[in-house]
Amino acid sequence: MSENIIKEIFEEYYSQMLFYATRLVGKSDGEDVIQTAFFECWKRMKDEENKEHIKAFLFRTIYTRSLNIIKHRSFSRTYDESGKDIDLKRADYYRPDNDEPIKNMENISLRNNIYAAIEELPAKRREVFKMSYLYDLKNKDIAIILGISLKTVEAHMYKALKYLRKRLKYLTMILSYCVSIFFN
Amino acid sequence: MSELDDKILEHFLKDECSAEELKKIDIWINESKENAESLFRAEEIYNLGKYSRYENTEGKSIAENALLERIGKEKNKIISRRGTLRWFRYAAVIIIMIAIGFTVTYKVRRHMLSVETITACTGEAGVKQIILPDGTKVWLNHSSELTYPLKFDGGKRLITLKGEAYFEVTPDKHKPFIVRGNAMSVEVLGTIFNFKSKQSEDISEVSLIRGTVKAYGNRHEGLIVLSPDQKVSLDKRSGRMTVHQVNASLDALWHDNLIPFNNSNIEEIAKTLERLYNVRISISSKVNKKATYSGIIRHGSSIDSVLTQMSYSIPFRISRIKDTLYLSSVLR
Repeated sequence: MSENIIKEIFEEYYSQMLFYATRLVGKSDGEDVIQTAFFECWKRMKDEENKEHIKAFLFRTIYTRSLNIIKHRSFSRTYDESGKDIDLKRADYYRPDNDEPIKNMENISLRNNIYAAIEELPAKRREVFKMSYLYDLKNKDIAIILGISLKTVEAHMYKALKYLRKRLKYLTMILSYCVSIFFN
Repeated sequence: MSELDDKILEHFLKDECSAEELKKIDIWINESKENAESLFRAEEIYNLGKYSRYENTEGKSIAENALLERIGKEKNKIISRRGTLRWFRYAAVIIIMIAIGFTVTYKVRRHMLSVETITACTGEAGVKQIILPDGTKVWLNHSSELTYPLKFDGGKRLITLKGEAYFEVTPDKHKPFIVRGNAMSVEVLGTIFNFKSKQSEDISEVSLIRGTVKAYGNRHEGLIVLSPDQKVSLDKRSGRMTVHQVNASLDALWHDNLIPFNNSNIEEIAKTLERLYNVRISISSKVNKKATYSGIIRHGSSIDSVLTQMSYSIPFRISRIKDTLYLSSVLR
C-alpha cells in the first residue's frame, strides 16, 4: 500500500479504531494495538482495496491482538480472575461479527442523544456531572472547586447517573431493535 | 433476574472498582448473557459520550508520525536486506526493473481507465436524459454532473453524482449499483429513486419510488434501508440522518413534469398543489371529500387548468382572491 493511501485510511479511521481498541484493552495498550493494525494494513492491503474490507481488516486485527493481550495479562492485587473474565466477556461483546457495538460507534445521532440527555439534567447536577464525566475530576476535587460538601457531590453524581441510565436504556432498547431489523 | 447495584455500576463505569466489586460484577454477568450485554452496552454508551476525546488532533498527529516512521524503517529494512549479498543486488535490480515496468503499465492502465469515464453535465436550465452502459436511465437535473465509466467492469456499478438526478436502475443481482454523492452514497440492486446531492447545500436527500435502497453517509453517519415513499436526509453539518414518509414521486417530479394522482381525495390533491404551485388552497366544507381523482397531470400547465380538469371528477367551483384559491361546492 502506498504511503498516501495509508495516510488517508489513518485520517479516516483513527478515532473510531482508537475508541474500539481503548474499549478492549484500555488507552495505552489500545494506542499500541492500533499502531500495529495500521502498520499491518499498510503491509498487507492493496491501494485499490475496498474501504469496507480495509475497515473490517482493521477491526479484526485490533480484536485479535487485544484478545492476545488480555489473555497474557498477569494478575495483581487489583486484577484477578474476575477482572480477566470481565475483560474477556467485554471482548466478546466487541467481537467484529457483532454488528451492534460497531453500529453504535458510527451512530452520530446516538452520541447527540447522549449529549442532549446530559443537558436535560438540572443545572447544578449537570455541572457536577460534566466535571466528573468530561473532565475526569475526582468527586473530592469537584467538592473543593464548587465549594460544596463531598456528600452533595456524591448525591448529584448518583442521581445524574440514575437519570441517564433510565433515559438511555429506553434509547438503547430502540437502537438494538433497529439494528436487529437491519442486519438479521 | 437481579439488578446490579448502582454504586458498583458507577465505580465500574469510572474504572474505580475494588477487587470485591469486580468479583460481584463477574458473578452478575455470568448469570445470563443479557446481563453481560446490558452492562457492556451501558459502558459503551457511557464512553461514546466522551467520543470527542478520541478525535483529539494532537494525539492523532503524534500517532500518525509514529506510524509513518515505522513504515519508513520497514522500507529501509527491505532495501538493506537486499544489499547484503551481491547476488541479491542483481536480483534487486531485476525486481526494481520489473516494478518499474509494472508501475508504468499500471499508470498507463489507470490513465486509460480515467479516459474511459464519461462526465455528463447540465447547465442552469434544462434536464438531460442519459442511458448508462447497463441500460439504467438517468435524468440529470439542472447544474448537475454525473461521472460514469464507458463500461461497467468488475463486481459493481459505481458512478458519482454532483447535483440532483433521478434513476431508473436496470436490475442486476450480481452487480450492485452505487451512486456516490458528496456526503452520502446509495447502493441498490434495481430500483427507482431520486438523489439530491448538491455541494452548495447542507442537506443531501434520497427519495425512494420503487424497490429498496441502502443509503449511507460517506463519513460513517450511519446506514439506512429505505422502503418506497421514504426519504432520507443527511445534514452535512450535524451528521444527522433522518427518515421521513413522503410522496416520493413528487421529489422526482422535475424529471418528467408529470404529477401522478392515485385515488386521491381533494384534500390530498390540494396539499400537493399548494406545495408545487406555491399557492394557498381553501376548501369549503360542502365539497365532496370522498370523491377521488386518478390520473396524471402535466406540471407545466397552469393551476387553473389543472383544477378545471379535476373538477370534472370532483365537482367544485373555483374562485381566486390574491394568492388563495377557494374551492366551493357547485350550486345546483
